[in-house]
Amino acid sequence: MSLSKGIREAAQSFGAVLKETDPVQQYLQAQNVLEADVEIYTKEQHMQAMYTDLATRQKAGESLSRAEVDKFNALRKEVVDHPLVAARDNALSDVKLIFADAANLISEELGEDYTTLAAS
Amino acid sequence: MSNQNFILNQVQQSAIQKNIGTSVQILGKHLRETPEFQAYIAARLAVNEDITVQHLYQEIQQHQFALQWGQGDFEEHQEAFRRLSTEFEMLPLIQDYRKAMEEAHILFVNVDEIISKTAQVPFAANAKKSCCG
Repeated sequence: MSLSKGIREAAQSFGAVLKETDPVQQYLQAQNVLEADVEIYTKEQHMQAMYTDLATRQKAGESLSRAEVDKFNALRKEVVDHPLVAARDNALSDVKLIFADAANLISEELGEDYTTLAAS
Repeated sequence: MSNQNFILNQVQQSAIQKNIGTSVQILGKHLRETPEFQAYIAARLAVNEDITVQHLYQEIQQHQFALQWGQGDFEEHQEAFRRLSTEFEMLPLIQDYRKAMEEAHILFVNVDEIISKTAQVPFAANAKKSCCG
């Protein structure tokens, strides 16, 4: 689908304003700090890959072993308890608040729920 | 943060809030004017105003309710539910509505990708309120 120049520019302008907000700036900074710590960032990437693999296999009807699930839960706990991950996740919580408010404003303009129409 | 920096930051954030409001109005206007959004709204209105569609929808809901609450004959309700649901989806108005909704959905997903890429954070995915607060 090709978007008109006007709508493309309006979307870019809105995205740029969102990026300027304190919550988004703090989130991006927290994410950068996290990515700079190779050890915990690698662990988080590994955890996400592991989750995708387990979820895909479970959805396909495979019964996961207790050991596999325990291994994932231990890794997950180690990742989410890490201060840099917790700081990034806290920052994301603030982003979600401001994004929800902004989406509500768009929904009011449209008379339709923006997040439902834009859900992937 | 010093008092001066704090005040400066407050002023900047206030300006950003105002910019959000302006940007939303402009984006909303552009979205409302798209053929995809207008077709979606028109299709939904047509569905809501059609007596046949509404009657069939109510019948389907009655069978669904009976199935959920274990009322009456399960097999009968299940058969009626399936038959009427198929009939419902075959109605031209419903097919038009589904098509219009899909096209509006594609439009909004494309717009959301631009917003998210510029903001560097997925927008709609993070704007959706969770079920649990």
